[in-house]
Amino acid sequence: MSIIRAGIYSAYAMFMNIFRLINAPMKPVRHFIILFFGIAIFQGCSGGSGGNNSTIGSVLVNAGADQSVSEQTEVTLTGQGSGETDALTFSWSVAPSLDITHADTTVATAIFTAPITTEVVSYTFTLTVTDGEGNSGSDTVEYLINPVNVLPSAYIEVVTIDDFNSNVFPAGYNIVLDGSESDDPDTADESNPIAAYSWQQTAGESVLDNISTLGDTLTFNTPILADTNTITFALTVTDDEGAEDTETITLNVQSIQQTLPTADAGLDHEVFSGESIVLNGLANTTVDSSTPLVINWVSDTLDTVYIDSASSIQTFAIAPLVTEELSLTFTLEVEDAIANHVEDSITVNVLPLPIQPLNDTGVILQATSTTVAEGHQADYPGQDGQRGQDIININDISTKAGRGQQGFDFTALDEIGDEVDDISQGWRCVRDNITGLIWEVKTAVTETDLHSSNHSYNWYQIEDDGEYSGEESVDETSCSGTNCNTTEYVEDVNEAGLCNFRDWRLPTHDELLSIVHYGKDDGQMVDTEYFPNTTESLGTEVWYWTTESSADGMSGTEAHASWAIDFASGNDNFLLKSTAARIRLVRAGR
Amino acid sequence: MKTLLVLIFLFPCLVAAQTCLSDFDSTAQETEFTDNGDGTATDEELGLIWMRCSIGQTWENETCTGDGLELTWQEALLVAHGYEFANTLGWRLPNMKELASLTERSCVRPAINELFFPNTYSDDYWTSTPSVVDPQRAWVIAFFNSSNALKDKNLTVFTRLVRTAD
Repeated sequence: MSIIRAGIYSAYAMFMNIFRLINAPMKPVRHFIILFFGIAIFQGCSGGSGGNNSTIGSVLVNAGADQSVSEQTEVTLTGQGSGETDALTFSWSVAPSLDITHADTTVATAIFTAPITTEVVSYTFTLTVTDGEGNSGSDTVEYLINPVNVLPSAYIEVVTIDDFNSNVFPAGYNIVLDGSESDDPDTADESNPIAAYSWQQTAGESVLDNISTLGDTLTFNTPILADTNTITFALTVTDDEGAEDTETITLNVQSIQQTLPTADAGLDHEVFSGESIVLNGLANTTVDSSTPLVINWVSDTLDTVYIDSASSIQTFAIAPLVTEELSLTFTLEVEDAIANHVEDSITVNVLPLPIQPLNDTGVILQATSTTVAEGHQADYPGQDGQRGQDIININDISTKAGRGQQGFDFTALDEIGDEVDDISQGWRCVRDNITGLIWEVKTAVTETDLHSSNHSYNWYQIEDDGEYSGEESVDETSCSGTNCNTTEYVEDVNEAGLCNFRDWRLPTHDELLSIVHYGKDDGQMVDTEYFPNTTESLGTEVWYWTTESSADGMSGTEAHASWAIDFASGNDNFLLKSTAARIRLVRAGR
Repeated sequence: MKTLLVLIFLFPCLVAAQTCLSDFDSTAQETEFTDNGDGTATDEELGLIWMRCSIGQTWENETCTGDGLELTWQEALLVAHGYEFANTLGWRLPNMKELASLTERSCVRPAINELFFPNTYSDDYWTSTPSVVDPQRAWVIAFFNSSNALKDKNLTVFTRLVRTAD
C-alpha cells in the first residue's frame, strides 16, 4: 500500500512542478492543464487501495502517506492541496473520533496524540481542502497506532512494629504483606492497574500452607523456631497487557527466646479518694509455648494501695485517702513461661473529694450490657457504681455527720427540730447533711393526721404573672383539710409549725430527686429507714409533686402540667395539675 | 456585615425552636454557668464542670460543630474512660442526678441552657446509672423535655461528659 501511495505522490510532485512552470502568465490554459493532468494521474493509479485523491471542483488534495506510530506519542499530520485560488482552508477529520489540534487552518499541519491502546488500532484521517471559490477536495490517510507496553512495578509494604528494627518480627506474629501499592504507569484503569498478583515464598521455613497467594495482600504467621531465621517472599504482578514484574522481601524473625510478651496497662485517668481505679490491662504472647503469662500489678506508693486482684489482667484498686492531689503509678508486670519480663505503666491522679451539695444516686451494683451484679465490671469503666459518694462510703473513706444508706447522710429531727439520736423513739423531719435540706416525714396510710401518706392533692399554686394556677379543688383528692391542693397543704403545715419551722414549701425537681435512691430494687426508691411510709401505694405509681410547671404539652402559653417523681420507680414525668398525687415538703438548703 | 448579622439572628429560629414557660426569665441563664473559655462551663453551685459539646462535636468559634456520636452504654463508658479535654483528665459519664441537674426544666426542645450548651440534641443522653431492677437498661435524660427514662443499653444515644470541680 505504501508503495502505491509513493507512486501517487511522485505523480503529484511531477504535476506540481509543471504547475509551477505554467503559473501566473498563462491563466486560461492553467485550468485545462490541471484538469488534464488530474485525469491522467487518477487513471494511472485507479485500483490503489490507499490514497483517494480527488478532483471535486478543481481542488487537489494529498493527505500524505499512511503511517504507523506508537501509542501516547504526539504525531504531526501534514498534507498538501491546491485550488483555484492561493487562499486555501484545510480541515482534518478522523474516524474513530480523536482530538486533533489544528491551530492554523491555512496550512495542513495539525497535531494529535496517539491514544493508549493494548492492541493495534487503525484511525483514518480525512484532509479536506477548500479554496477561495468554495471548491473543495479531500484525501484520506491511515494511521496505525501500536501498543507500547511500559512494565508494571511490584511493590511490597509491611507494617513495622513500634520499637522494633525494620523488617524484624516476633515468632508466631501475624504479618500482612501489602502489594496494593504496585503500579503500572500505562494502565488503562488507574483505579485497578494490576491485573493479577501472585505471591510465593522463596526461602525460609514454610509458612504459606493453606494460605491464599493470589490477592494484593499476603497474610501469614511467622515461624516459631528456636533460632533466629529469615523468610523471603516474592510478589509477581501482571499488568493488563501481560507484562510482569517481581519484587522480593526478606523478613527477619526472632527466636522463641527473643520473642517477648506484650503488656498494656491501659489509660491514665483521674479519680477521687475512695473511688475505683480502673486497672484494665492487656497481655499477650505470639508463642503458645511461652504461656501461661504471669500477671502482677504493683503501685509505686509506699502506703499500701488496695489492689483487688493483683494477679488478674483486669482488676481495680481503691483510690487511697489523700489530702491533696497525688499521682500514683500502677505498673503491669508480665512474665512468660521462659522468664521473659515486660511491663507497662499508667498514671492515676487521686484527688480529695470536694464537698458538693449533690447527693449520689445510691447505686453501688455494677452493670454490664445485660447484667447487674456485685463485683467490679472492668469493661464498663467509670459507671455509677465505681464513682461518687456511694462507692466511697462502701470503701469506708467518707465520714458522715449522720447516717444513711450508701452515700446518703441523714439526721432525724423531732417535733421541735432537735436531733434524734435514737430513731426508735420517733421523728418528724429529716435533715440531709449533704444538701442541707430539711424534709417532712410522712405518717402511715392508716393515720388520719395532716402528714398521712394516705392523702393526695392536686397541684394549685396561685401565679401572679398570668401562668395557669391549676384548680382549687378536684374530686379525686383526699386529705384532712378543706381543699386538698398543694397551696393549702403548705399553708396547713406552716401553720402547724412542723419541727418548729414555718418556711415549708414544695420542693423543686432537683431537690426532690436528691433523695431518690436508685440503688433500691424493691419499689421503694428512698432510704426507707429515714423516710418510711413513702410508697405505701395509692397504685403502682407513687407520684410526689414538685413546684415546677412543665413547658411540654402547654395549652397555648398556659402550662397545665407540673413535674412529679414516682418513688416506686424513680421515673419522673409531668402530670396534669388536676392529678391527685402526694406531697413531701422541704425547707432551707445550703 | 449586615448579611452576617441577619444570618446570626435567623439561624437559631431555623434550626432550634426552643419553647419556654411564659414566665421564664431568660436573663438568669447568662449567669447560670461560668464560661471557662476552653469548651467547658462550670456549675459553681454544684461543683460540676460540663463539656459544652456532645461527644463527637467540636468546640470551635464559640459553638459546637459537627455531628454528635450515638453510642451504646458500654461505648459511652469506654469513650469517657481516660478522656482528656481542656488539659484535664477526670472526665466521666454523669450519673442520673448530675445529668438531671443540667436540664432547663422551664423549656423544651431542647431543654437546656442554649447559651452555654449550643447545638444540644433534643434527644436522649446517657447517664452512668444502670437500672438495678432491669439488667437490660440504664437511665437516660431526654433533652427534648428533661424527663428521665430507662433505655436498653444496646441502643445508641448521645453523650455529654462531666467532671467534678476540685
